[in-house]
Amino acid sequence: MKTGVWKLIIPAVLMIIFPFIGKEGYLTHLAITIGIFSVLASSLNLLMGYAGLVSIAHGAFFGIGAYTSGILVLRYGIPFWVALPLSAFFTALIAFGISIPSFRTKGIYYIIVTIAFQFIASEVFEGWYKMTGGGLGLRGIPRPGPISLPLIGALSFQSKFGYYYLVLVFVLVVHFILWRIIKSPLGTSLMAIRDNETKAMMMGLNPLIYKIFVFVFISGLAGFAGSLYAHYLEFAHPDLFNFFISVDLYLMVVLGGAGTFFGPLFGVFILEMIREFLHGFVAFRLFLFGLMLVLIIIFIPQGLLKALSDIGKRLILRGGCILNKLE
Amino acid sequence: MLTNKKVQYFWVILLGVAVTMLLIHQGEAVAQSTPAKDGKILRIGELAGLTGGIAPYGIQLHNARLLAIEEINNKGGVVVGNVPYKIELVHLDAGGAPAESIKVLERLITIEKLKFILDGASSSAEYALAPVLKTKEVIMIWSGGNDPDTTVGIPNAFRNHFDGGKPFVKVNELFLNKMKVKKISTYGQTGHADFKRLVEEYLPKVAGFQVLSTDWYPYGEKDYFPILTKIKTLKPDAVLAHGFFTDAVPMLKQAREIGLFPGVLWLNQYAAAPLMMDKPSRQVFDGTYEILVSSFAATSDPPAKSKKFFNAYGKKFGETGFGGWAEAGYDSVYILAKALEKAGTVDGLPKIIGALHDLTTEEIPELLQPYKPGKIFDAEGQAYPKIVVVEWKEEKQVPVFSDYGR
Amino acid sequence: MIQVLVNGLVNGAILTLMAISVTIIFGVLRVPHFGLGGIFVWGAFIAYFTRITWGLNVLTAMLFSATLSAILGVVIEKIAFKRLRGASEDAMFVSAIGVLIALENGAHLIWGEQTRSIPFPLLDFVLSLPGVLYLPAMRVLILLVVGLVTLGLHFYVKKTKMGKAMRAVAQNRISSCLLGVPIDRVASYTFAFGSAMAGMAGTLVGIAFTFSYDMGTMSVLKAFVVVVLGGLGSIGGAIIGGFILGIIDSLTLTFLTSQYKYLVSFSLIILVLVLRPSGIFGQKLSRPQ
Repeated sequence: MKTGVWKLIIPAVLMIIFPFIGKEGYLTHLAITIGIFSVLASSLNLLMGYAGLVSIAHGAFFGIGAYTSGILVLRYGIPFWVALPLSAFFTALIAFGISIPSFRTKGIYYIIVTIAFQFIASEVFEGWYKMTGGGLGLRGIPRPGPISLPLIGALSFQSKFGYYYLVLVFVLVVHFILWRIIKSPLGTSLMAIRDNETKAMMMGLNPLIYKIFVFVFISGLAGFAGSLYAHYLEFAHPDLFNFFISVDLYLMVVLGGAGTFFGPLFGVFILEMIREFLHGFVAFRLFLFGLMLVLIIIFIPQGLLKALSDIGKRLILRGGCILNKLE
Repeated sequence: MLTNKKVQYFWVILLGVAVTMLLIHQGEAVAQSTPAKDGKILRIGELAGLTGGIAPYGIQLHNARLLAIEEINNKGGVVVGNVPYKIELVHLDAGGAPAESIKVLERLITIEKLKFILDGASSSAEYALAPVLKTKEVIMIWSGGNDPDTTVGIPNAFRNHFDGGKPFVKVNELFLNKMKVKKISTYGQTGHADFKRLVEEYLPKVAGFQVLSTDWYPYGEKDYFPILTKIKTLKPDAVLAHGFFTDAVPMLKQAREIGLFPGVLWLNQYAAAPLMMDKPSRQVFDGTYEILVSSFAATSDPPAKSKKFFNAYGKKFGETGFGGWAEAGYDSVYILAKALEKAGTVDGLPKIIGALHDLTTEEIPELLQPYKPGKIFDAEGQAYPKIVVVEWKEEKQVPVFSDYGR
Repeated sequence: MIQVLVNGLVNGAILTLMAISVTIIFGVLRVPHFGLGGIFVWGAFIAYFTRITWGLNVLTAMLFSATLSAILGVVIEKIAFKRLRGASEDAMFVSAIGVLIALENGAHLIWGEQTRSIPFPLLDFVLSLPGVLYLPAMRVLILLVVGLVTLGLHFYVKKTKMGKAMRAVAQNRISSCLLGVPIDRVASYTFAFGSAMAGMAGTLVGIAFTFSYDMGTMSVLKAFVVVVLGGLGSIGGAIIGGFILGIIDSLTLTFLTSQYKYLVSFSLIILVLVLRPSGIFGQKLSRPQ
């Protein structure tokens, strides 16, 4: 299957040489943003697409990671490389705490609990002035210091160039881990629970343990993403981690296709492109998003990526048939 | 079941919406004012605040800048090193939101490649952008927002609006002492950097006042009864209220309904002005005071220059929406233009920064705000226009007190 | 103290109206209709503009707005929810959120972001017991209207044929279908009532306070919180929950903290759900099959 390998190699090469094209410009900025949001979307996808649970609190965990990292580095002088895993861990801890009450509830009740938590988190971000800077935000979060790599020399993260590679490494590592989880027995069990919880229980699985594990794990990933984001923007603010961001993430997964591996990545890309294109027309963009949510869940519930690739396949088949007829 | 028809249906709908959006979409940033036929163009950026709560303030600043640019261009433009430049304003709206402002600044610098940026009125944007500005190759002149010490330690940031920290607190203190106030309650909108820091960092350090309560409301709050009830029981001498003035109207209305006002000295920090609101709202303000302005333009007794400005503004944009911040926007353009002329370059940022520091109030006769005589900016890039306290009387604002606060 | 409690009652009344809308639509049709927040907004805008452009008096404007909201609600049911009738709650949730966002931002696009108020000069006075209670007449209006509507709905559901049909579908949709209950019509009526009430709630808020395009999200979210507290599908629970939450909010704001009001009320909700996962009076959700 040598042709299959090319499918991976070409994008990989493109991703690696990208900053040489984009340099310090806006494109690199976009790439970094998309990278960070791809971690968020894919982690949410593991929960929604593979474990079958909704969460409208992903933005909150994104924020908890961001603020924790910023506070650790800014106020307590902890080095970035320590703060990064620490904030992911702390976020996961809070997720664990919230999962205990949430998973006692089901269906819409459970969704409401996640929404309630999102608003509680937003309120804490806004209100805890001494820690988070409240409605003013946390400013002056520093970039990580430079590291020296063998053969390449020093890599500074002050520039977008350097930070891109930092984000790229994390994006690749996270997606590799997610891929392995999905392919593993753990992944199969999750999907079993998603499809028929009663049956899964009869097969000897304890759904609660799996649900808690996934929820905690992906929230930790969101925390990771949050730390990367906060140190990139050098700023954290409640506006960046609120209910609307959670809905955005939810839309990315649904739009791209929950339960597919590349679907949400596609969703991130499409939504960011729309956001950039319509950046001066916030109301219109949001209206469009609302409309898209309704249309997609009714007409294309399996997601845009699948629908587009199906169309693509059909076109290729038709093209092939026509070519055959012409011969 | 995914059928061809369903997918087509979806695309038709989405395509229809997309075409509509393409028709509406008019390009990246909107360039204003008449571009020159010959001669060079100087592009100045604006981090505008044209939507959201900040809009009533940001729109004034924006319009005033357009007016100043038109005047300068009509007189031949800015002459830098014997070359006349016509000014073109490139604005992007950030809605006053701090997180959005960071992203918009990124666009202005990397996509629009602008070197000079005039701000969009929001104190929380000032607060967020200050550390970010240090590393960028731009000169920023803030004309709105009053985040304390915004320009301190940031060599490429200047502000020609007043500082909401020490100077503003001083004027509050002087005025409240004059009115024999001892006990204060504060009620402010969350997310306003200037008021948050005033309450948390500056007010506690002022001797002679007892702060009985500190409360916050979110933007768009409808029901102020609970907190107003609480304040009423505490019986302060004065209430300090701060936020976007669209919230001030229902708050004051409810303060009256609940019997809190009249009965206390109500000091608004809303930068509200008569022409910014309708008649019933103006009547609601009667008997209260306003302090968040450094201009006499919207008062009942404006100086001659301000009257002229007001007439010109009214002719071009209509009188509705005019308020006490417009003059700051107007001044920012003239200040930048003069500094460029003095520096003799449009690229050499260090020289221009030096020129800005050398500017005196007297050498720019077009300036409208009442700045301190002598150098406009202090060593940190902060200007000191007089902060004005007015009293609302019969739908007009009568000046009762003013001071530089320095 | 009385002032504080009455403050709470008034806010609770609005909450209750929204909560009843939410709970009947969920109870009868299993649709978590977050889009009602959008109808809440549109109700206010419709009432305002009919009043301003045609000079209608407030009562007429309110009724007109309620009717139009009902129609809008039915249209939305047909477009956004009818095809999802057999689908999972998650799918309906996506659609509902989409409707909420589309309606709110649609209002933004059409009418702008300005905060307005529906004028009602007749009721521009305050009933007061000096030192004890100050009650603006418009807030009394809220209590009155909500009371009337609730009573009206109660009688409708108990006495009329459609009301019985709604209750039947709520209890067991499949049997009702088999017994010949017209689901489509029941759905239309349910959405019509729910949306009319949501629109009316918006109008009341627009009269007594102010209204803007973005007031829907928090309002419908709080309604869901109330409904979850009182139990999805239970009208009585919605009423009790609404007033309780209104009073708790008022007490929290006045005596505890103005910054963490959601923290307090939402944490309480989570606490209740931990102890009683279906709410205080709720129907037990069917086991995930």
